[in-house]
Amino acid sequence: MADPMRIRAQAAGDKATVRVLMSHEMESGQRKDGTGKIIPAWHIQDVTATLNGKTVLTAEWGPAVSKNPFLQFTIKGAKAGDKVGITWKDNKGDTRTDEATVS
Amino acid sequence: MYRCHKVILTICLWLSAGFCFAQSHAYLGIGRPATPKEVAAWDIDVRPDFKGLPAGSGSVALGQDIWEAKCAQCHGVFGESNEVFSPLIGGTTNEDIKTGHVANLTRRDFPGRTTIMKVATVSTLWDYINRAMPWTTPKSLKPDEVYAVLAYMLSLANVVPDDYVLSDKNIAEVQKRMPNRNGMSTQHNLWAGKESSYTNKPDTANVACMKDCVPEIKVASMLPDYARNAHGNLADQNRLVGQQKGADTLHAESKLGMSAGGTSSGVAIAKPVSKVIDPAIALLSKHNCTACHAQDRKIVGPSFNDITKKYSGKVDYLAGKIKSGGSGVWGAIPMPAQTHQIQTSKPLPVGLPAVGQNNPRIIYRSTSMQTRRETLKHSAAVASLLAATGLFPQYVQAFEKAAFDAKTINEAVKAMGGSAPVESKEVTITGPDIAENGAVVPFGASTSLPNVKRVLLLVEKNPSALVAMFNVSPDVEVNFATRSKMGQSSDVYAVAITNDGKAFFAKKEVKVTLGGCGG
Repeated sequence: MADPMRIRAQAAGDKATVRVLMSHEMESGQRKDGTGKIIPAWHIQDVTATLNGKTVLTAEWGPAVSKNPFLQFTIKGAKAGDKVGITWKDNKGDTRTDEATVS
Repeated sequence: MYRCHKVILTICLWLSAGFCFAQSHAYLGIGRPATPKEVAAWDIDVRPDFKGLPAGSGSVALGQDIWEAKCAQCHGVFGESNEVFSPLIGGTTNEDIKTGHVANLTRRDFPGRTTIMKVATVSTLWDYINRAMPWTTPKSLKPDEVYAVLAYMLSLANVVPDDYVLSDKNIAEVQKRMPNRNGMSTQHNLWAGKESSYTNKPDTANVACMKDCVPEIKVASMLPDYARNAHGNLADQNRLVGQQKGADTLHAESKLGMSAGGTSSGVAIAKPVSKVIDPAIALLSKHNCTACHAQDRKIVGPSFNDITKKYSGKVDYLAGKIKSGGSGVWGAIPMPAQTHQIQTSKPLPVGLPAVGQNNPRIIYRSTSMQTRRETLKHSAAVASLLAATGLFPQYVQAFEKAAFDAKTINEAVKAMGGSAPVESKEVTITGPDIAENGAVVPFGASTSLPNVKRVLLLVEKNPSALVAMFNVSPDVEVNFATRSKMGQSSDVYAVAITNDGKAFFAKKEVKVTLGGCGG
C-alpha cells in the first residue's frame, strides 16, 4: 500500500487552491538496472479530484511526471469545510484515495 | 562591520580568558565594551547538545499555519518546492530514520540533495530557522513559533507524527530519529577527528615571511576570460550541490587586492556599474528586494525592467502591491506582503521606474517577432506531438498527408484545416529557462480561453511527449501546475483543446543541464 498523499486546500474568495503531493516512484521505463535490463514503467495513470463527492477534474498522466508527483489546481465555488478528495490509480492497478477539508 | 566584529571578538576572548570588563578601556578609541545584554542578544546559537535552546513548545498544526503564511511562498506547501531554493523535505525513508544514514546520499543517480537528507542535528534546523527565517524578516519568529515550524517540517519528513508537539523537553528524542544523524563526518583535519589525533589544530599554516620573501605571488593556473562563461551564466542556474547560485560569469571576476583605494573590510568588492549608486537601488538592497527581483531578468519575481515596462508611472498601484503582496500577475509564485519593513511606501515605487530607465540595454524577446514560417513550424510541431499521443485522430490523418518537413509545413497546416494548432497569447505556460535537474522541472499551464475541454502538457524531445492531460470541468479553473521529467533541452508546450476541437498552444524553451529520464 502506498503512503498517504498530502493534500492542502485553502479557500480564498469564492475558490479554493488545492495542492497535492503524492507518494509514488513514477518509474519512467527508460532506466536500466545493473544487468542492463530496462526497468519497466510504473507510474500513476489516472487522477481524479472530487469536491464533496462530485468529480471536478480528471487527469491522465504519463511516466514523465516527476517522482512523488505534485499537482496544483483551483476549484471554483469551494468554501471552508468542503471535502476535497483525490484518487490516483497506477498502471499496476494500485490505487489510493485521500481526503482533506478546505480551510 | 569589521570593527564591530573585532570588538565583539576581542571581548569574547577577554571573557573566556577570565579578564574582567573594566580592562577594556585599555583600548581607547575603539568604541565601548558590549554590555552583557548586547552580548546576550548576539549569543543566540543553539548547539547540538541543545545548549542555548530556549524553553518552549509548538505543535505541527500551528507550524502548518505559520508555514503557509510565511514559508510556503518559497519552499512550497510541503517543503518540496525546488522553484526558489533546493527542496527542504524529501529523499528520506523510514529505513533511514531507523539507521541514521540516508541511503539516497550514496546513490549517484538520485537527483538533488534536500536539507532533511543532509542535516545531522535537529538543533541546526532550530538555530537556522530562528536566526535567518523568514527571509524578509529574520529573527521575527518567537521561540514557540520556531518549535512549531520545525515540528511541521519534521512531520513532513515523517520524523514525527502529525499531532506532535515539539518542545525543549522532547527535542532530544527527535534527534534520535533524524534521518542522517549518523551521517556526519569529522574525519578531516579542521575537526578534532581521528586523522588529526583529536587535536584542534587546523590543517593549514600561515607563517608570515620576514626575510628573503618572494616579492610577488605568481598565479600558477587560471581560467582564461573567454572560458569563464563556457557553461552559461552560473548565476542563472540552480545547482545540485554546493551553493545554489554560482558566480555571475557574464562579468569578469573581481580581482583581490585590485580595488581602487582599498576597502576597510579588506575584501575586494566588484566595481559598481556606475559610480553614483541610485538611491532606489540602495533601498532595494536594504529591503532584500534583490533576493527575488533582478534588474534585467526574472529570478523569483519579475525583473524591475519588466515591471517598469508594464506599470511605468503607476506609483500607487505598485506601492499597494509591495505593501500587500500578491500573486497571479506574473506567475503562480506569490510575493509576501512587505508591510513590516516599509514604513512609508513612497521611496520605493517612485524609485522603481527610474531603475529601469537607467538601463535601456535589455533586449526583449517577443513572440510577435516570429516569422510566419516559424509560426507554422510550431503549429506543425504541436500537431505532430498531438498526433503522436494517439488521442486525436484528426491530427494523425493530417500528419500522414504531410510529413513534418520544412518544405511542406504550409501543406501540413493546410491539410489540418481548421484544426491546425494556433499559438495563442491566451494560453500560458510557466517554467524555468534553465533546469539544472531534469528529474523535477516545475511547469504551470493555464488559459483564459472559454469552452476549454482539455489541457495538455507536452515536452517535445521526451521519449513520449505527452506528460499530462487534464480533463477540465466547469468547476475548476483552467490553471494547473505539476512537475515533469525532461530527458534533454526541449521546447515545452501547453495546449488547450476547446469543445469544438480547436487547439491553441503556448511554447517555452527549457534548457536542461542534467537529464532526468535515464540512469
